[in-house]
Amino acid sequence: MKKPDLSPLVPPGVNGATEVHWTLIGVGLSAAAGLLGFLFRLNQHCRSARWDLEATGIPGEIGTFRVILDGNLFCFALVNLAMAGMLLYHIDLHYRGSRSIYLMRRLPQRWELLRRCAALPLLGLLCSVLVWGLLQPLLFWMYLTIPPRSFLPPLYEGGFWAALSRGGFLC
Amino acid sequence: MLTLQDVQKTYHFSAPALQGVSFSLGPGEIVGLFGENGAGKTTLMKCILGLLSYNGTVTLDGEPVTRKNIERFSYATCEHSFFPRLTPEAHREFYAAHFPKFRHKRFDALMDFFELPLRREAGRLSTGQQNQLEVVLALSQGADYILMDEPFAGNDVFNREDFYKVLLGILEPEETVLLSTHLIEEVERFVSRAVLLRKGKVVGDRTAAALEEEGKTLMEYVKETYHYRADRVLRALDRLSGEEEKP
Repeated sequence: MKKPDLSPLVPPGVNGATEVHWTLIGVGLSAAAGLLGFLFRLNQHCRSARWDLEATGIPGEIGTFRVILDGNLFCFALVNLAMAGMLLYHIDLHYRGSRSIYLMRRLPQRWELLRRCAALPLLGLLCSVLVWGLLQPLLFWMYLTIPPRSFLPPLYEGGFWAALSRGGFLC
Repeated sequence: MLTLQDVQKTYHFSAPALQGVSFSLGPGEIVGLFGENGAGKTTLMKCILGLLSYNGTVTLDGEPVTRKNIERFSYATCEHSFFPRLTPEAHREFYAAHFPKFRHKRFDALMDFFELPLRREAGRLSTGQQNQLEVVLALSQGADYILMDEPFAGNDVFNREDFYKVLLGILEPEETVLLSTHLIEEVERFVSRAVLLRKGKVVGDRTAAALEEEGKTLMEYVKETYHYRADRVLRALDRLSGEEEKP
């Protein structure tokens, strides 16, 4: 499959493929860190609930979904900051080594400068937000299916859609 | 016709850079823009190109300079406006993609003339070569008005001499050049008109033909207009040697 030509989306001389590569790595690592962090904390809560059961005979409850998720998706914020940094870097390139900004501002094509500076950072931000958004329902499903049912707070009884309709995804 | 009417520019917290500059450039003129450092030459060119905000009007054939007609201007600056990471070859592709009137033949001829490497990144060229590339791109863009702001800074005299000859040879009758330089004696042989700036104002505007009729060289006209005192060096030296003699 032919690789897309990214040169119209970056300042002249910048390797767009490299920037896309590192952005995808950043998003991938953020997703992996989020997943592993979530599973680790879920495991801790399940252990705590199991100790309660063994000590008192009454099953303990794990924390709500948001309590367990809390902070685990922080790496996506770092990726988003990196996209802002990429945008500033693209702009700054037009002032380094020469003043190619003078040429870009003289182009008949109105949006050329904006497109080349902002396209990849915006696409990277979109990708990050998309993966962040898709990861959460997946983690919610894991939250409902991995721990024993008796460990789940009453809000989450009745399966995925029932929990969702009761606002369990937001709690 | 490029017409400037009462162009004024003041930078924040400083004295006015341009004070009511008005003049016109017609097709085919080669105009030297002269002035001391800080006279406003660079500011004027940037205002013409819309790179700086200003008061007053700049029109091209009666129309304001906008994206619709900006391609009729090209710009070569001593600050350089090329992309350091692109080769001259890649610059040609970029220019051709954005300026439909790009002159490939002229580009190739000038690159050969200056013996510039096509496949070395512009940032890795010497200062003199970078100046040459800047000028090659400005001349090859296909513009009607070519603005050059001290394009020869750092070039040796032989390169400059050769360049003036090539410039005169390749320019077409409808191409207009506005050239800002301190090298008055070098360019006076081929500019058709001289515009003098001082502290943001036009203090002189004379054609080469008029100067010739008056029996003046461009340098004499510039010195006269700037009230250059030839004896100031002698007086300063006298004063200094007078101080040293005191016990």
